[in-house]
Amino acid sequence: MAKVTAVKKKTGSNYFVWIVLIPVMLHFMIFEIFPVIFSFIISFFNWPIVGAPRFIGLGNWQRLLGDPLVWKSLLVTFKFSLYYILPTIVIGLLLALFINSKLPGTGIFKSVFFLPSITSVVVVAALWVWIFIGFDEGIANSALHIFGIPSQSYFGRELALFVLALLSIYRVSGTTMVYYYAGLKGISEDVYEAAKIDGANAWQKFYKITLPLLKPTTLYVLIITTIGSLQVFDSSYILTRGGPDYATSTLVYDIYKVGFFDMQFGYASSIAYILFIIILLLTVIQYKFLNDDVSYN
Amino acid sequence: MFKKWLERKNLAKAAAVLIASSLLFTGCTAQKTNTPGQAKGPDSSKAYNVKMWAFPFSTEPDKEKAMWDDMIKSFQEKNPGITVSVQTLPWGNREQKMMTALAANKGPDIVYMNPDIMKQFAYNNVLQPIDKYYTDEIKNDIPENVNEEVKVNGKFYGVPLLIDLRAFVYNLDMLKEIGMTKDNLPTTYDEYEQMLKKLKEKGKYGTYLELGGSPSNNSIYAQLYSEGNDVITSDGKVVIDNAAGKKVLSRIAKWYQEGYMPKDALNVQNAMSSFIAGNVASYHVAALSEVKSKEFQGLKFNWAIGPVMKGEKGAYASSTVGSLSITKDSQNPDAAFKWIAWVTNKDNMKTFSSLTGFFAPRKSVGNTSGSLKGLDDLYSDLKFARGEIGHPAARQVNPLLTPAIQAIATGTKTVDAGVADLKKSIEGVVTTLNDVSNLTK
Repeated sequence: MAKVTAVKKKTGSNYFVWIVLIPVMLHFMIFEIFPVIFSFIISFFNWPIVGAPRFIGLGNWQRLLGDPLVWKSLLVTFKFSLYYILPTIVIGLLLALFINSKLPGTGIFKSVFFLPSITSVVVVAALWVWIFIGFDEGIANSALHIFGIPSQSYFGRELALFVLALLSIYRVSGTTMVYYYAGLKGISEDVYEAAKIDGANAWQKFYKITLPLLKPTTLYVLIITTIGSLQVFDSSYILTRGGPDYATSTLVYDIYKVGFFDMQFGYASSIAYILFIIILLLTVIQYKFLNDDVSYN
Repeated sequence: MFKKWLERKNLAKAAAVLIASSLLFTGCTAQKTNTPGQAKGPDSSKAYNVKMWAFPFSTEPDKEKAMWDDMIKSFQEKNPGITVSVQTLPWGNREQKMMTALAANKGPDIVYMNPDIMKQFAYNNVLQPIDKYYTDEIKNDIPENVNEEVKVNGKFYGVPLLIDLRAFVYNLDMLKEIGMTKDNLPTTYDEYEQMLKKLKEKGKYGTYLELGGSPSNNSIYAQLYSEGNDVITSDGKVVIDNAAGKKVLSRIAKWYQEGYMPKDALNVQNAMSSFIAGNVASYHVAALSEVKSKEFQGLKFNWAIGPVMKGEKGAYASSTVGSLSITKDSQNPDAAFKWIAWVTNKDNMKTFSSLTGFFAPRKSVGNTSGSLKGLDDLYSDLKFARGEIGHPAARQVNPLLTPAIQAIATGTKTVDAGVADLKKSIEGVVTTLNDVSNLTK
């Protein structure tokens, strides 16, 4: 009893914090840290999930270097990031500025813009097929006809990845909007008042005040959209199955195929680690270069 | 003290211990695998619960549950000591669910499988061979071509429960414009090509082959078999690069490049909707999941199922034979098979087929599709049925075949270069499959 009291005394007011924290830490260890370590270990094995794994040293890593499909998928993933990251950030910011403008009806738009983020990707994918169907009667093609542009094949080799990126932009911009909206709410009205007194116009206020003060939000959004773009899987899996001719085969889709079709979990893990290293490097670079002059006050 | 303890290196130590024990625990369980074909644990005289994983086979879940309940009740009355539980899982990601359950030695006794998954799983020793249970009564009541679909390396690994079949369906109103009727539908692929050409001249799309879908759905397998070819032989020789293989792929490329099918066909699986909307004159329809649907049966235009088309070496229709297999985790395969035999006996198979609409593999059951339009024609085509490629790599070959067809169809690769690359990829897959199979022995 005396011992328990002594522990309580020493841990003091943090006692409750630890009670809450330990289950979370255990969860994090088992479901986050453990898989990360475990997948690194199995990347040195031929691991068919059922049956006995065999240690093959650097075999999977050597195979990876000479696997053209992995490099193709990596290129597709980078292209996707190129199409996706900047528009998602810009559209999210514009939507946040709009709902923060206090114009009538912006409350409704707040929900409307966020709706795609909570809609099932399967539903959005069905919507996408309906819009971008290649027949003349398709919505996108009908719109092009107004401008005298002939019908396009949106799921063909040239446009498929771009169409998938559009789907992701549509789904994620609402979430980005929420981050920026929170950032905008954190900027004091006094700063704008002072700028107004100094004679700043709307553009100057945005460029000189809003944008710099949103830098912490932008850094966060940039990092999470970059990570999200490198991990894209669902739209490629549902809409195009990586096709045509690997044009939308992203790295995560490749990992899925290697793991669940070929039962090569060791090899799939080594590809996953390449992705992990790329994400880690990019995040560190982004943080290093953009975080230097970020003020969180 | 507690606070200090946490602040110090002890936390890192605790984390390391936790991870190490998790690794050890998982490592140990991963090694513990059962040997297929050996009944383990309790002897068959003791009470045993047979667990089966099924999937939603019909669009009426309540009726389907009642069907399973009735079958279980009557089975348990006849087989005291064996209880049965049927768990209906969603279709999505079923391979992953099976694989993870079996890896943890927590798999069911029986699982429903499509042939490509069954062949791969059997080859990787996750299923138990059932030759000793596959009696002549079963064998003789099931057509030989269907029996072949549930064999791997000459051994039976499943009892057929259902068959789905594909054939070409035609919009007769569109064909009228080129002077064709139900009585002169194409009987060969050459005649089909002539039809496509005439429709193109009228500004119509003649077909919608889902080139981004599975090779069964887009008729590639049916065409290859009809021309006397395969992708890979059952003993592992890749033959897609021979003359017949090139002929089929050149034909598909021509149909795509000449505009006989919409550009979307390259990658969008939208054939049924396009046909129903009257945008294409024909497509490779699935018998049960599509023809029996309300949308199809309620079509406003005239339509008909065409004859199974011939190539140089015969006529084949793409089919799927779904079967019930016993997993390596079954502790009592005798009891498990008793339940499979019960579900697939003549009476219960008839009940199952009548409810789900799938064709019954047993000849004695006959056609249970009733008065639905088109299904009589398809039932009579069952003799032409041939499913996925016979080699256990079928499931891994499909994702390689699809991009190769797309590359050839778009002209990104010539037929020669396309099949040469494809052959190399398939040979790689066969090597890794054999490697995995050796590990699971």
